[in-house]
Amino acid sequence: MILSKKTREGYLLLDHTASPGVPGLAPKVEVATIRCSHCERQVIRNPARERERHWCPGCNKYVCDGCEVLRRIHGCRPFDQVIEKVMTKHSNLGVI
Amino acid sequence: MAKWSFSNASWTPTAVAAGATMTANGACFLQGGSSTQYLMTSEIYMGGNAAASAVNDMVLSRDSTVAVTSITLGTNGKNAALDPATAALAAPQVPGFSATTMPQASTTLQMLALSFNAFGGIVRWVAYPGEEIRTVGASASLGELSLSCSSITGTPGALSSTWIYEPL
Repeated sequence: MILSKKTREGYLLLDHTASPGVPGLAPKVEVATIRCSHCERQVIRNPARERERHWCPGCNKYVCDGCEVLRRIHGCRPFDQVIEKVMTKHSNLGVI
Repeated sequence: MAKWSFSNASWTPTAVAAGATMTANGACFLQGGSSTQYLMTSEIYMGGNAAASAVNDMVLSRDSTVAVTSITLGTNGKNAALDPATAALAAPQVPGFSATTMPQASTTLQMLALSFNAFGGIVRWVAYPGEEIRTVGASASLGELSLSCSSITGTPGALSSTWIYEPL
């Protein structure tokens, strides 16, 4: 099955229809969120963004602006790799 | 594994900047139960309970200092498995609203900003399956997430919150 980039989006609802709301925000906002594959930060997708969104060719997933800078210097370092490192470390120590 | 709900029907966040120690019952956190436990946060819901307009700058972030000693669910805090058939874990995860030493939110590892007006406002974030926010272990900075109010705007108002997560 081929998944589109939009398939993996999260959902954020900010509902102030029964509230004074937050200055500058519409009474009801429903937006997509995307997870950065390298730091796991959830990024609120701005539909008005004109700059390119970064896509890591290494892990084939979205990366946020900050992680894209690091990716260009150090290469692909997905969060999965961080978890694997922690697990390997503890496995070597005999914890698991 | 099974999904769990970490909730509180009414609490008032205490505004604290990232990098400063949180106040007991003024923030909540979720810590791994062992050095290898893996938790996936899939949903955060908050509903405003305040009696007057109050913009809460709620932030879900990793903690640069984790909570230690006498961690409890504090006032009104609840933590329950969604499925009644869920088996007890050998190393239960550690959710809390109170601890002798409260955590400090990381100044850089902010996962999600959820500002809303606690006077009738609702905020709900849901991750696509497989795109959850994960923690691993029980130490800083990857072993704990916290939901707190950063001290940017005014005085925070009361809210109810539900945090859905899954331990692995």
